Amino acid sequence: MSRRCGLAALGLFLVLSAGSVLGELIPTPDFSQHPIPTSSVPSAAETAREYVDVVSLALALGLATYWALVTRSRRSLFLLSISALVWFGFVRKGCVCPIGATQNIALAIFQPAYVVPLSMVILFVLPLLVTLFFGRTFCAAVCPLGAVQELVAVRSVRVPGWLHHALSLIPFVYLGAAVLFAATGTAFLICRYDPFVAFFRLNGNANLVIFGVCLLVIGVFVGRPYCRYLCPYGALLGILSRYSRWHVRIPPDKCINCRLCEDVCPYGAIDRPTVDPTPADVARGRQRLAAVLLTAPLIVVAFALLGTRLGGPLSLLDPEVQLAEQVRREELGLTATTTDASDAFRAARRPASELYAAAGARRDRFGHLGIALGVWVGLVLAVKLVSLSVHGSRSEYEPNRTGCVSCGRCFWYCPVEQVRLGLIQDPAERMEST
Amino acid sequence: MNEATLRARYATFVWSSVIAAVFSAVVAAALATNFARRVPDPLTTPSYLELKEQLRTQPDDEPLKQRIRQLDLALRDDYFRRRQFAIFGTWLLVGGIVLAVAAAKAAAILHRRLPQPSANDDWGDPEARHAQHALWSVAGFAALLAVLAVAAGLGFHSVLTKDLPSASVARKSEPSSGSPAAAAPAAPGSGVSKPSPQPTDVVASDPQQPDGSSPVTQPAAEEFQRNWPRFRGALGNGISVDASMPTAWDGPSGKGVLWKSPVPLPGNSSPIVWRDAVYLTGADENQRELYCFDASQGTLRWKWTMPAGEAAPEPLEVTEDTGFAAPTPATDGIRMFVSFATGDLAAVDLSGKQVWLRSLGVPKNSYGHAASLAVTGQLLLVQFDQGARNDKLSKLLALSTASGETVWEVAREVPNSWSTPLVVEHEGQSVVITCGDPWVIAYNVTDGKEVWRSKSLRQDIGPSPVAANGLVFAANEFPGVSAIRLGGQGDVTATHVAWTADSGAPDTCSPLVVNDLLVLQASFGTLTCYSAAEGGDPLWEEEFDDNFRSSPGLAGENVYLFAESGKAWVVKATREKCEHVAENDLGEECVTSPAFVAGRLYIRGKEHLFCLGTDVAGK
Repeated sequence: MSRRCGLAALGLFLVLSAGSVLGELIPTPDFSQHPIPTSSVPSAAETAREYVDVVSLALALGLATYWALVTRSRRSLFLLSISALVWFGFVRKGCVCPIGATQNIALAIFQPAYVVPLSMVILFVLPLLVTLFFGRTFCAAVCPLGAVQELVAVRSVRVPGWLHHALSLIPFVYLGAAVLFAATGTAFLICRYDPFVAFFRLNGNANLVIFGVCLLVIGVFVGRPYCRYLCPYGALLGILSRYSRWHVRIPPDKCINCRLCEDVCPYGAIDRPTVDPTPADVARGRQRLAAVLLTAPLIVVAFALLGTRLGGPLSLLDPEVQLAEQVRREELGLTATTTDASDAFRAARRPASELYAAAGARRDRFGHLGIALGVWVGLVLAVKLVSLSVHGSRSEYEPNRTGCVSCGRCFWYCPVEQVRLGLIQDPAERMEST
Repeated sequence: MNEATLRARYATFVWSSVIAAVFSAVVAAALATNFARRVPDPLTTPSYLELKEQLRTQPDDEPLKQRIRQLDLALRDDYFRRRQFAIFGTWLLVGGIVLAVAAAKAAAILHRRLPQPSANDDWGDPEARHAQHALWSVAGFAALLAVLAVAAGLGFHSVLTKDLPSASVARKSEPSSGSPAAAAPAAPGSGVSKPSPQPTDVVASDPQQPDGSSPVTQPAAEEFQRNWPRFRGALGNGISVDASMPTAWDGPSGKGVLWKSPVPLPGNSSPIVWRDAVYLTGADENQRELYCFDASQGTLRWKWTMPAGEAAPEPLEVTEDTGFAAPTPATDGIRMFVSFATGDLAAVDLSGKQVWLRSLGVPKNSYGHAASLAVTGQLLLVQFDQGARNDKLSKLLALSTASGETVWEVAREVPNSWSTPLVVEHEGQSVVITCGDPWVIAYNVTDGKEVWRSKSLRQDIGPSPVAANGLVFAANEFPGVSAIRLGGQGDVTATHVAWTADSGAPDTCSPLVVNDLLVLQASFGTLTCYSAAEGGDPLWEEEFDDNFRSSPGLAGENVYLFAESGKAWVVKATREKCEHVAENDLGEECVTSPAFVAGRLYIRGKEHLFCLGTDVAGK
């Protein structure tokens, strides 16, 4: 019966699909009915709206923290993430958000003329503060980007550890680049390359839509790919979460090391208990750590030197440098066409020499910032290598504080949790059933 | 909930998810197809632009206007229809995806099973196992970042070099007076070439087409070749792409003369043709003008007059042979560029509106400045040779066609000359070839750096170089003609001169390549023919009882020779002989070179501009 219903539904949907294609072949009536839109200047957003954003963020953070740490309700967290997706995503259209606010803060720090609204500062700082105390509950059920990925994580596979560690460095590199470009006033990279904002607005750059779709398709099999391997704000949250005062735990009480949770996290964020190393392992580990510590400064210096080569390529994103390049190419006859920007420049009667001088100054600034980016990347690499060289010590199964997004998926699998919920009397019951 | 119910619900959710996924995939495919077929700006489709282009030449064609309106409507209709479909499809897609995901999750929850860790899974020390691999993967990632950084640095190429003209130099060059003025002539014997003044006056920098539209793109190379945009045509070789040209005319009776129009001011510049107009300059001691004639009717559409400026400190002397308007104009399809014996340069758009004006200073030139202009890409090339060699006043300038600002300039170790530069593409490099005593020099178009030079000339240089089949032909009365192979570096006198000859070399007329032959027209009337590849002895010589200053032209198999008296011969040049086709008379003196466009020949006589050809009736 259910199979027949399924087939009937399939047929219905195929007809609808065909209609959506055929619709293209049927000409629309009468173009003369098309209303010519009148252009108008949109009014400035009301100040109250900024505080609605702040209040709704604070409320969501509070609820997420409460449901993750206190009531340990996966269902509530899931419903909250859907609500966050609808409100912060589709209603507020993904802007403003704490992730993008990183750039506003960077711009405000480096450009005194830019005044960042207080609400923006709160949006940026509040999730960081909450994370410092309670872990990444922002990621659990508040961030709409995380929420949409959470929804599609259906058949997650485990990413090999060695690959995960390498890919997890990308958010830090992205963070450095985003701060650099924001600080120079060149571009807000995080906003420009947000893969999901086009979904929220049902409109956007085609390439980014395709990128977002690819991320979601990947997200079906690899949990939260953007959060884990791209999100620059997540890099900051991961650092703070590592030192959080409180954090989600897998069992509500003591862990009985039943191993039932060890592979259930779709994000690979459950650390197993460690085994005491042998003296030989300890010696090897110390040697490895010493080598890494000695190499760390060299890595930082090497990447600083590499950063000196980046000033030119990085500056190509700057609109003034792009304009100077275009104007110069036109003068040299290297391009047969002009651009709107170069036409406007010539119409404005600005001397080309001034433009070149300004572009040269911008490029020099990027040269210095390229070194800073190189130092940052070197530091990140060095710290990562050091952290991998330090042997941890765990006696039970714990969420990896850096990677755990406090989503609560692991709760159901824990027999101690099942006892708490009254579903079983004794953890042994669950263990016997496996 | 019993097992059967669970299984039924699970199946329902799975099927729902599959159906919704298929539906979403179909909608996504339809959206992708719609996106692929979209036209970002419907008003830039080639068919539409072509019709608009036709309308420019046929402004009164009502059926054409109707077609344009219909096409315009159809394009806009299609554009908005696709947008509407994209919006509708997006909603469908969102709904389908939401349904697919929700059903899949519901099925996953129903199907949730407890994990089954292996009883004998001895994982050892996970820290130790992962750490080693992770260290290497992080190191690999670091190496990848380093490679990317190096590649970005190495692959980075900027046209903004350190030696761009600075703002302070540009300001110093501008005269204090706001009106355009001929700058004081450079002091002879100073030994230093002063930086050329930047444009002193710019009117509108937005060049307009005659219909008022403002094109921002240069026409394609094919259009340049179909027209006659500079001295001796698009490639500077005097060869028409249109083989069907008139061979018979008689100025006094009007036979074969479609029209002739008086030119207000005298000049020895040759006509250039762009689309439906013919352009000429004329000048005397007091005035300098550019004329635009209708190519079909010969009517004067407009004339542009150079604004009067301050009088030069000393009167400019030019010979009658040269006059004040000897350099032939040039065009980039958007603007007309003109120069005069006074060293004044100007850009005028196709509607006659001045775009920019510039004065290079009155040149120190014994006969008067006569080198014509050349355009390549967005550069206007000006060969400004003057004075004696030791004066070090000569230079080659590349100006921005849009603004007249100097992009680069290079000093030349030559005295005054009257040859026009030639731009040649060879093995991916674009070079401008110049002639001046004693050098033929090739410069890189991009930055003016010298590529090669050959010591192949002597004395006053009038003829302009031509190029064909990897060879540059530079000729002058002394020492003769040289064929120089392209592609050299540095001084190629000893290595790249394929052949030289001294018989029949011209002192004014530029050479002509006719298939595998090189034809030289001497001023005193002798037409000499060589093998272009091998040189050697002349294949033949033909005497014409007249004097020549006009450079020969080629259309099809016919070579056109215009003599000073106004007589003109049409001949066929073969290896064996010079075969006479026709002898004609323009009816007035002629020292300029012909322009060949669309089956018509345009030539300037002493007082008139002629259009030679046959009308539809064959007259």
